[in-house]
Amino acid sequence: MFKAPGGLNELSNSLLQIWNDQIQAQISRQLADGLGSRFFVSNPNDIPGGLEINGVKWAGAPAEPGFCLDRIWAQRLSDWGVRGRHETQNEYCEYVVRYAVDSTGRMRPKRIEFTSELREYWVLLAEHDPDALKRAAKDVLGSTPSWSELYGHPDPKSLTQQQRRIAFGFNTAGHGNYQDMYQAGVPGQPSGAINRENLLFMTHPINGLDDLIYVVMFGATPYRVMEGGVPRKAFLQEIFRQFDVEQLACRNADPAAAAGPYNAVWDGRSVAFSSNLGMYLRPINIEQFEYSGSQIPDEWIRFSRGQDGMYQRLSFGPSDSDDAFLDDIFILQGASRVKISGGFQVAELLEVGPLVVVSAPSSVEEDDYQEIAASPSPINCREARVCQTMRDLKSEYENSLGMMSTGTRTLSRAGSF
Amino acid sequence: MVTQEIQDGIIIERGEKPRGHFKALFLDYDPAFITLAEVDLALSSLWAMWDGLRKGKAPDLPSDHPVDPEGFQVMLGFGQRFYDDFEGEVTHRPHGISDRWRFLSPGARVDRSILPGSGLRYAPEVSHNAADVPIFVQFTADSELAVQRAHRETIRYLEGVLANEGKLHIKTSANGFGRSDKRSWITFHDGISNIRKGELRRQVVGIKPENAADQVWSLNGTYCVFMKVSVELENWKVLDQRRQEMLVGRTMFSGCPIISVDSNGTLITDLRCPVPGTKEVIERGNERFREPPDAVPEIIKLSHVQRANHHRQPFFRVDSRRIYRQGFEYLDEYDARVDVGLNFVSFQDDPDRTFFILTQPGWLGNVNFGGDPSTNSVGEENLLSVLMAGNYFVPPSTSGERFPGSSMFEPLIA
Repeated sequence: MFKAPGGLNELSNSLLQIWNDQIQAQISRQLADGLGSRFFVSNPNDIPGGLEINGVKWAGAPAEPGFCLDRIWAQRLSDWGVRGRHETQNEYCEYVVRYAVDSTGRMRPKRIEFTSELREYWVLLAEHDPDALKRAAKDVLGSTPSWSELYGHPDPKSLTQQQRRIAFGFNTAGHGNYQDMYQAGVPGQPSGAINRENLLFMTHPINGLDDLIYVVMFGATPYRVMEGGVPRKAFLQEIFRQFDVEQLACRNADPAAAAGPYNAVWDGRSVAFSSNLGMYLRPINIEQFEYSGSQIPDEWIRFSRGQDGMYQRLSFGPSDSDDAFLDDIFILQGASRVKISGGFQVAELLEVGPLVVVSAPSSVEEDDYQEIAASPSPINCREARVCQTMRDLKSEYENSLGMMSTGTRTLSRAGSF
Repeated sequence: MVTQEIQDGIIIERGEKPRGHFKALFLDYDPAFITLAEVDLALSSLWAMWDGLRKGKAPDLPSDHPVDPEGFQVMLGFGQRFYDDFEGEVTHRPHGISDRWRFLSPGARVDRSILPGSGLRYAPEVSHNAADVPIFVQFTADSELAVQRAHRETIRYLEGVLANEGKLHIKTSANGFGRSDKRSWITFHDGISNIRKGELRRQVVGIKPENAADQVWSLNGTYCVFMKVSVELENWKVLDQRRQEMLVGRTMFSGCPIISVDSNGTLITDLRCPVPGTKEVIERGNERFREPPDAVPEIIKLSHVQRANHHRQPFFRVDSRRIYRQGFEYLDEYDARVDVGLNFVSFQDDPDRTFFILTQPGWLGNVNFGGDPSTNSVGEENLLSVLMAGNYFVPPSTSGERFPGSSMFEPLIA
C-alpha cells in the first residue's frame, strides 16, 4: 500500500509491512479522535483511478521567527547553527551549513544541506534493521558511520528492538513527541553529533509523520459557516479557531497541508495520502543564483534521496572537490544581489510538501457538512505563544554575541532585504 | 484618535463599484535640483486639487459651479527612488521597498527579463524602465473625462500653478479601461478568480500587525505592483483553440476550468460548468467554478491560471501568495502601429507575494505566460512583453495628514 518515502529501495518486505502498520496506526488514532470525514480514505488503493497531485506545498523557510520578530531576525535565528535548527526549523525542511577551510586557512561556508526526510522512517530502520540503517546513512554521508556514531552503543544488534529505539533516539533522532521516548528520558533533540552536524533527517519534534497525518486529516472535512442564513465555505482561520489551534494558521506547513485536502473535499473528492507517503523538496530556480558573473553550475543544485518529483535531500553549493565556497554565490532577487551567508536565504525559495491522491468530484451531501462559527478576521500571529519563545531566543542570540539591542534595526544589515 | 485606512481607488468592500477608467501618472524629478520640502509642497497642493476633483470642484470653475465627479478616485504611491533619493531625510522607509522588490532595468540581464527567474521580458524597443519613478499616482473614475481632467489639471499645476519650475514633472502616463465582459485581449476571461470583495480581500491587501512589525505607521498601507504588459496578438492567433485553452487553463467561450486531458488529447472540462441556464462562468450560479480546482494532472498544472494561483490559505498569510488584481486593459497607437495589452495592477500587503509568483518554478517562474517553457514555441514564449514595471508603497489614509504619507516628511517640514 505505502511504499518507502521517495520511492527508495531500502525496506525489506517485512520492514515495508511494519512501515505500513505504523502509518495505519497513526491514521486510526486520528480517526478515533474524530478527525477526518467519509472523504478521507486510509488506503490510497481504495481510490480507483485516483489522481496524485503535488500541489500541497509551502515555503520551507521557518515562519515563526519572521512573524514574531521580522525577516532579519528570522534569518539570523534560523541560521544560528544547531540551536537555530532545533528551535526554528519546523516547516518540514531542516538544513545545515557545511564548512571548509579555504586556501587562506579561513573557515568558510561551503554548501547547504537540506532534508525533508521523516524521522519515523529512520527510527524504523534503526529499530528493525541496523544494517539497512547503516546503508541509508552511507547513502547520505558518503561513508559508513560506526554503530557508536548512530546509536551511541558499539553493538546495537545485541540490544532489544526497544533498546535500539531508545538509544537511537538519544543519539540521533530525539523523542519526536513519542510517549515511550519521553518516558525513557530522550530529549527533544539528539545529543549525538551525527545528526547534529551532518543532517541525516529531520529531528524537530513537530516535523513528524504524526503531525503531517493529523493536519491533512484535519483539513479533510467540508466545514461551512452560516452568514445571514446563507451557508458558505469556511475560511481556514475559522477552522483553526474553532478547534482552538489558531497558532497553526500562522505557520507555513499546517495551513497548506490542510488547505489542499480541504479544497478537494469541498468538491466531493475523496482524499488519501499518496502511496509515496513522504515529504518532498520542490525545484528551485537556478536563474536566481550567480557565481563569477554567471549562473551557477547545474551540479551545485543536487537533489537526492528519492526519485524525480520525490526528492528528500538537496545539496546546494560546491562539492568538496570544488574550489568555490557558498559565500562566493550571490542570490538574485529583484534588483538585489546578495551573498549567500546561510540556509535561510535559499529556504525562502524552496517549497516542500507531500503527495496526495484524490478521486473524481462527487456531490457533497447535507449531512457531510460540519458547521462551525463564522470568524473571518485574520489571526494576529504576533500574539501567538511561540513568539515569547522567539523573543527569548533573540535575547539568547544577542547575549551570545555580546550584542546590545535598542531596536530591531540597530544591528548590522547583513543579508537583509 | 488617529485612524489609518486603505486609500481610495482600491476596491475592498462589497457595494463598492469598480471604476471603468484608469490613468496612472509617473512623477519624476532630478534629485540634484529638488528638496524634500519642495516635493512635500507640491504633493500637498496636488492632493488638495485632486481631493477637490473628487468632490466635484474643478479648479477652473467657481465653487458654485460644481462638476460631476463621476466616481473619481485618486491614490498615491511612492517608489524606491523616493526613499533612496531622500535617505536620511524621510522618516519612514517601509519594509517592502528595497532592491529585493525592485524590477530590473531592461539591460540588466542578457535575456532582458524583468526579474531574475522571470519569463517576462522587456519589449525590444524599451531602453529604460519608465515606471521606476519616485511617485506613482492612480486615477480611476466612471468616465474618461474625469481621469483625463485630473491628468490635465496635474500638468497645469506642475507647469504653472505651483512655483515648481518644472522640477516635479510627469515622466510618463498610462491609460486603461475596464471590461464589463471580464475578458482580455486574448478573448479569454481574465481576473475571474480574483479575491472576492470583503474581509478576505482586505486581509490580502492591507498591511497588518504581522507584516508591519515595528512600522505601525504602515498599517492599512499596501503595496502596488504595476506592469504595463503588451500582448503580441499575432503570436496568439496562430495557435488553435485547443492550444490556447491548454495555455490558459480555461475554455475560450464559457470560461470553465480545464480539469484534464483524455487519451486522445481532448481537453476535459468540469461537466457541471456552466450551470444549466447559463453560458459563461461569470454568470450567477457558477461561482464555484471561477477558481480552478487543485486536482488536475501535471500537464494542466502548467496552464496560466494554475500557475498564477495555487489556492492556498489563509489569505492573510504571505505564503498563500494570494494577491488582489485590479488591472485595466489598454490600446495605444504609435506610428500607425497599434499596441494592446494590460495595465497589470496588483495590491498586496507584501510585494513578495507577487515577486514569488513571477519567479518560482511551478508558478510563473521561467515561463512567459503558460505551458512548459522547454517545449513552448517561440511565439508562445514571446506572447507577453513588459513596457514598464514598478513596485510602490501606498501609504494608508491617515487622519490629520495633508496627503497619504505626509508624515514621512516630518518633522523636517515645518
